[in-house]
Amino acid sequence: MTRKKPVRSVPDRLATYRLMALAREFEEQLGRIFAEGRLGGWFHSCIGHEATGAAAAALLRETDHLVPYHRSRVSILGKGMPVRALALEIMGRAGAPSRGRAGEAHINYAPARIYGTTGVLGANIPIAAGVAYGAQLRGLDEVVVCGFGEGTSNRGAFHEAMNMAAIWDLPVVYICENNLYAEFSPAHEQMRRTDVADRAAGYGIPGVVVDGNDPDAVYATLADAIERARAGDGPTLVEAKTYRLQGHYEGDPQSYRDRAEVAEWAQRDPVVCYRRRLLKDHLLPEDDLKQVETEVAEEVGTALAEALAAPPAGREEIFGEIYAEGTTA
Amino acid sequence: MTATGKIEEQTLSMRWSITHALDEELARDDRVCLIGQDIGRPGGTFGLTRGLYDKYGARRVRDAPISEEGLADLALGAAIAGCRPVLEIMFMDFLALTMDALVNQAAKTYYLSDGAIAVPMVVRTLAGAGFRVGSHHSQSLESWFTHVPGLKVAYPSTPSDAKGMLKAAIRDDNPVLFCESKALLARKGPVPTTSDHLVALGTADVKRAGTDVTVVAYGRMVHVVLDAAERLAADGIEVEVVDPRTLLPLDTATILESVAKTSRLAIVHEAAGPSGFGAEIAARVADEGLYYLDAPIKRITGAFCPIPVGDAEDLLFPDATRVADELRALVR
Repeated sequence: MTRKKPVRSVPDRLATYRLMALAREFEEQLGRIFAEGRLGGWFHSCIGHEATGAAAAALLRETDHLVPYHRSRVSILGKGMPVRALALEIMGRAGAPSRGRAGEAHINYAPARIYGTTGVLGANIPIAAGVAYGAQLRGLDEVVVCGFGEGTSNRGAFHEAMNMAAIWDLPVVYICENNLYAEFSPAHEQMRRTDVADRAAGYGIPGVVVDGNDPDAVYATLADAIERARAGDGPTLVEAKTYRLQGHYEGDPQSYRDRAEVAEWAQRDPVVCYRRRLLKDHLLPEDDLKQVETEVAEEVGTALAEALAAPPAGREEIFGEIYAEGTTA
Repeated sequence: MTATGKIEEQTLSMRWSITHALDEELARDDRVCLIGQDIGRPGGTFGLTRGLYDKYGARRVRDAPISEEGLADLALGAAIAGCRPVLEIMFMDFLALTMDALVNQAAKTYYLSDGAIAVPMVVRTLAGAGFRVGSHHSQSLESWFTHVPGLKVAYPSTPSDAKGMLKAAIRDDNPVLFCESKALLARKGPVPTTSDHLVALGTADVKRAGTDVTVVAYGRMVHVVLDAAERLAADGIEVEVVDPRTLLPLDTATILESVAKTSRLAIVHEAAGPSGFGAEIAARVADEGLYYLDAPIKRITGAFCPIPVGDAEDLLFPDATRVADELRALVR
């Protein structure tokens, strides 16, 4: 199933860089807000994960579906959830799309076909299979992309979903972002295999390993997988090898990680490396990149400041309808 | 309806009333699809989907692997994608495996999206004892789910209610847990022949009018109580039997209206007593109808004990003799 590597245009690659830079700004600025104690609750940093989500977003159509996990902010932004809406949502503000009910762990945004995020890790994997099941049953030309981490691939829900997606040839692409740690525990203590992608063999579907810090490589791999799904040939398990450059949550002291390991992966920072590549390939003058960086910093700064100033959800937002058609207990 | 306005009826077992409901809804709306273990070509472990695979094909009547949690999440995903899935979980006991999907995911999707995402899904399950098949195939666990905002819980007792409520559940835009008492599958009763026979979820039904004591019962216990009521009638005690039919949302008004008339309340269910659904009914009547009562509220329930295999099962559940004795003591 080796296809020619897709050639991406300069504007397309710049758009991918822009999304990566936007997401990086979002995470850094939001991280500072939490670090300064200006917000309660928590968030799970996506810094280091930018390449995978940016590549996925570039490949998904408006009619396709995204079933994310808690570190999918890049693909969520790329799929079409506005920065401002995402900021309001994470902060539990009354003006959020969910009116302040969902929060970071339950991001959903139906207008961009984003749903299924869960605080109970792994449920999104069979939910994604179900969205694909529905699209297939209705004869729609739609595919589903679902994200999760390597730790979640130990859930029974992962196994059940992979098997069902396989036997029914569901149009879904599973992207496992293997960042080597499930919360505070290294992957090698929690599974025998180094590659989660090996597990695909057990379901009779393709399992592909890709450098998860290289958006061009992820793009090429996902392009194949999405094409396969769209053609009705069934699911693919893509494992993107990456690294969480921050702690599990903002403020995590990270005593479980070796400093040398963190430093080594910092050298492979996907945003820095992709910027360098775009320059080195002489695809773009540095001023263009700087302009993008200035724009996204302003966009994120404005959105987060507005969200911080916005009122939190109150009784009116929280005690809304629980049942469709206004039915109540 | 005939020209004279009379509703035409046929006599059907609950088994066939369920199959007919599924058949009619599959025919009516091509977004409706069935999923479950052995429901396709084999026609279901209890034969409830017989003929539907041949009529609607493998995609709409889908045999599924043994993956209860995954299937419940899959049904949710399919509902999000615009289908109206009806999932069969073979035994209510297996719902333990679907708790995350139903309680954490399906029940909260509408709320967490501020109504942007509806979840029109039904989980049918074979509930309760009666087959003498032991502790993992006989339980009544409905009150696990009546505690969860966002779910609806239906538990019909007659073929007519089963058909009308199942059709209503499939047309409902919320996740509905639909409990089918396996002991009642062969029980026959009149069922309207019209394909528009719908019984709205959340409406109770007075199965027997009486003046001396109200008994609230659902599922298999409705018939146990009706038997007891016949015996008591011979002694001049008139029992009113209220079947809530849907536990969530609960038609409290019909129960209160009955209690206001009879001044006495007993609740009978197959599930164990502690934290059973009878506690909720008793609490609501105590809250809103305490001054109607001339006697303490009596709960008559299944034993708080795992269900043993074989004939010993009968030792655990209320029967007509026990119910009649308890009611006689209550009205004395």
